Amino acid sequence: MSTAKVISVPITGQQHLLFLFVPLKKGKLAEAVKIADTLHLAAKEVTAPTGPFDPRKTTGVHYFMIYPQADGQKTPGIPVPGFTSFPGKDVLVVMSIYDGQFDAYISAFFAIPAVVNGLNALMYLMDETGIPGVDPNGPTSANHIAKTGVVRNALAFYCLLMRYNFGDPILSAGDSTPGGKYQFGSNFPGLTVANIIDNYPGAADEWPAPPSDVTYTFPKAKKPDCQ
Amino acid sequence: MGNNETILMDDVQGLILRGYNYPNIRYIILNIREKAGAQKFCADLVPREGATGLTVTTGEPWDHGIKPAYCLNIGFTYEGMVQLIGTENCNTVNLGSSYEVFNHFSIGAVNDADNISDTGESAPGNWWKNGGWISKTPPRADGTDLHIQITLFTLSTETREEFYAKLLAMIPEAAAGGPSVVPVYYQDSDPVVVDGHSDYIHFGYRDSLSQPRIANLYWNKPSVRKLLGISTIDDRPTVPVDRFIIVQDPSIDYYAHPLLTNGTFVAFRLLYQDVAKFNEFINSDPGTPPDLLAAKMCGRWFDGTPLVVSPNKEDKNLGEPGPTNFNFTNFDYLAPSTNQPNDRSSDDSGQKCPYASHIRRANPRDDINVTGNNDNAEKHRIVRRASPYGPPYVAGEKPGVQRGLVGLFMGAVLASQFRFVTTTWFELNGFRSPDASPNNSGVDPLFGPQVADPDPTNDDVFAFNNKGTYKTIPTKLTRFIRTDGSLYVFLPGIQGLISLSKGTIPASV
Repeated sequence: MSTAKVISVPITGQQHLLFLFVPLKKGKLAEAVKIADTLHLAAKEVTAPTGPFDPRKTTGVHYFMIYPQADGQKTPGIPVPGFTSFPGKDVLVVMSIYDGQFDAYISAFFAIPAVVNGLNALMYLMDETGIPGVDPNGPTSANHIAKTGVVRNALAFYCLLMRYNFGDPILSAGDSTPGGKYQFGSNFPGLTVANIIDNYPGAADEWPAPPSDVTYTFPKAKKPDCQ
Repeated sequence: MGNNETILMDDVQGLILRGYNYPNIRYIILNIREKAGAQKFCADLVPREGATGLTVTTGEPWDHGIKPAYCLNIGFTYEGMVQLIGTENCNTVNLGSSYEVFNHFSIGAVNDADNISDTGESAPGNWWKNGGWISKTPPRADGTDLHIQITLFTLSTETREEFYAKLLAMIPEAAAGGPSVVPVYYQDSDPVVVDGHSDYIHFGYRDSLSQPRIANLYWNKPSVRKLLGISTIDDRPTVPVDRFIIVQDPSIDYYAHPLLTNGTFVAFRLLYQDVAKFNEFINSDPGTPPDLLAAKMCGRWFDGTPLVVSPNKEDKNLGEPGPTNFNFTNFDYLAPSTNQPNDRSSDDSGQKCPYASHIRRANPRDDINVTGNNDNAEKHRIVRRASPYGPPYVAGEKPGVQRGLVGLFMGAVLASQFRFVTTTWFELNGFRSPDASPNNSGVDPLFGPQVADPDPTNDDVFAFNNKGTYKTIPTKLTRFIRTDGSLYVFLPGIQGLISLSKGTIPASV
């Protein structure tokens, strides 16, 4: 039996999970969703600066999901509670798979003013009061960051996100080393957004920069018939 | 990022803005025994008319450009600041500053050691133990006994002793008897001379060839540069002064408590250099001449010639590096800089200067394929004021001779400057993408693989692109540099120093 080839996936080539449960002031879900939409749109409008630099190589994610859930509600469509909010607060669930280092990924968005504005606005909607172990006015709190904004509090902002991140920035997709807090698989370790942009034959046409130069239609797949 | 404020040169410690280029230096660390005496000591060091003792050197131009007999700069560790202004005031400064500005400083170098790969032989438990410790009490493992760092620059070894004695004489007696401040460590630095040039380090490289060009300084103003005849030949992009001096400017990416204004943060580093091991490595591959391998590791030939402008040999036609000769720093990696001499071809593939090389990792210039670099490294540049210590290496010498590099690595934001370059560009596997080298260019070859390296199976490999094929050096890389001491230090502005000497802090904005 031959020995399996060992391939080292550099940190910049690793895929990581972001899975946030952001506590919001009760009744602010609609505003939060509006901000999330703004962020999505702003990221989509990103244009490549002059030269070959494409910011999507850092800001691009493979997938993302944003889901708002009101205080005390069960996650709809399933017969178990699903996501839960901290009592007395709404929750914004954000999930994505990003490449490379957590701080490099987050800070790349700071170059997009509309995203920065959205994140700053989100700070005002968060509610960290009464959560055990959290100082709602401490240096990494949303309250504190809101005063001067996320860009001038970059490190504090990373710490704030990490507080509510179920994802582990050092657990890489496809890494089967035992001991991680969840299984995170991938059949294509190292297949980063940057690699897709650089190497996929039709990338410039199918995923041009800026992304808003194209629109997509999605004929619907079918659910299994479970009646 | 920008800053158009005029710098108050008389409120800024001069070392931040210019290298003094003095030959004989003493780096001193002091312990505060009594607050009142320490405050008076600091107050007496404040530059002012009629001062009789030594005073801190500011950024003001020297009279007629003539060097003073000495220069002196002072910094404080977090514990030192706690001693002078108290914990409550330190907490106020912390809360009034961006987390990345003050937090790592307050954590300190000992507690940050694991994060910046000061592990194994370089771990804090081994610091300050290889010569230079002068206190009878051994250094505390947590570093809390190290409070003040003073650097004394002199023009001769004799005047170094003379001014050091004067400095010690300024220390007030404590009320309970004995000195209020005690020197616990010092390290002298004297030049390593090669071919008559006194700007070499022990590994054999010419040093300090490409410091950041700081915007808005008097000597970097376009009109002054024109007068000096250097306005059109220095290709270095300017770096906003707010990267090196803490300013109050709502348009930049940090904020700071007023106590910190016109100051900066510093990593004071004592870095042992194992010259014998380094020489062994560069001579280890019969197929690679040692000077070529050394050049590929550094990114420059021993005489400072950049590989990008002269990939095959040293180039004496570049002249002597100096204030009007920028041939040693006029180059870029992807597209040639305006005045790049000689070879102007792109080095996107790293065929001339490997991605792994020390100078490419420390400052990737225009290489936008490097993690976190789309601004000519502007956000991450470091001002480096370091110099060699210990005697020159002699082949066959007895083991245990201590030599290396000691000095200050400065930046307004430790997190995005010293810590970022050290952790992300030097040591993080995956420095650049794309990278076709066999090990993603591993780690900085001069610092070598660290204990608990993220990619231990690959980071001890050094390879360079040789006409499209990677040449891997068969001998494994080891560590040629060992951290023998480290402090995170705040260098206050002069007003900041006055506040510290009074035990107070200015009101928050």
